Amino acid sequence: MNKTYILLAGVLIILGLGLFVLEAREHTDVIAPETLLTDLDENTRYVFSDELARRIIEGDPSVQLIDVRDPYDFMDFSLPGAENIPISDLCTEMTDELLTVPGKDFIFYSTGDVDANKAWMISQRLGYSRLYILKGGLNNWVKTIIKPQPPAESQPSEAFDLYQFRLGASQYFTGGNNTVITDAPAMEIKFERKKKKAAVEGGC
Amino acid sequence: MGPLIPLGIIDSSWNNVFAILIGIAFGFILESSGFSSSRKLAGVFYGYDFTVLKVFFSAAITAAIGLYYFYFLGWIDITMIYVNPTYLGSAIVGGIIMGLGFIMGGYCPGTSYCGAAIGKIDAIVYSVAMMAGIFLFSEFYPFFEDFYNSGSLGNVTVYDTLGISVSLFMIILIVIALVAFYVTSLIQKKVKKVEY
Repeated sequence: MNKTYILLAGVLIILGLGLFVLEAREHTDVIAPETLLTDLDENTRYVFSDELARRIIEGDPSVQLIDVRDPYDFMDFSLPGAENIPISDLCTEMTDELLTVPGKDFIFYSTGDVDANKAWMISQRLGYSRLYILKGGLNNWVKTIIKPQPPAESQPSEAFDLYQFRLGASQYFTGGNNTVITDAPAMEIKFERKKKKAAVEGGC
Repeated sequence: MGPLIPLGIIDSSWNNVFAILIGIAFGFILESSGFSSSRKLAGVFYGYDFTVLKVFFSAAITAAIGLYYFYFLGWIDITMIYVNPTYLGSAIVGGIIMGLGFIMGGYCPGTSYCGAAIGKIDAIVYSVAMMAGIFLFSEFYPFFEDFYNSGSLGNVTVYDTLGISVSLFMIILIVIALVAFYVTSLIQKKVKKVEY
């Protein structure tokens, strides 16, 4: 047997063992501060109340709301289908089980933006994906969806369409009060799924 | 030419330029490894020359080891690597047809062009026949479209299917390769020398 062959075989095996060492050393998947800063700067983590209302009404199965307020507030009022995870419980196994459910968009909300942002940042740091925040929190939710204000006469027609949608949504979420204007044409609830990123094409 | 073209660092109109350059390099290496000889290529089936197995197997493990070193060192994102989807039934049938063509013609698609480029008549015939085969396949595609697309397993990898770690799989693959190289060299010694 040629000596070169034995040497080369040895090199291959050593390289293979090297992979073992590297793989074990890996998995310190800490998000670099730079990445976190970019993520924070971008507003893609926000879900707006109208979009969320549409998705809930449509029964979008990918929506998983997470209420980060304390349990008392959660018992008082919460959005349909929400799970209660106070910020202090974020690093528990229960949370891990919830946040690793595949195919879900996890949407954090609190009274305003601040606590939801905290929860988002910690979860991001813990390495979970598809995390979002309800922009403006429940305050904005009440302002826009539960008690929508009619737009001024001079507003464009889109504002009126949006108002009609919000009135309908308000009825959906509050169980109905008679504020809906009946002569308005039925609002078609549009729902767009997020476009999936195309798989990388290639081959030999 | 990932990641430079998909990420937009180089314009996609350069795709063909790179394809030609890489193709020339690939052809040159095939030719210099002796892969433009159909007798050498067919040797793997008759047991007198296992260069094909050695070259391709070592190329595969070298690339795999390199890719995973790059991944573990954080230089590439392995999730961006395209994994060909597996269609089990059609892959087996396709493999048998490909193998039959290989042993009868003495070339595989790439090496037939390599041989044609240096003027081998059998390689030229093979290339033309391959084109005819591609034409027939395309024309009759609707007849076996269902089978062609059946049994999709998605973009699976062996180590995921076996539930083992990548490193363990790589070690196993390296050992298989080394054993294969050793065993084939024993076979090669036993089989009568063929002049080619």
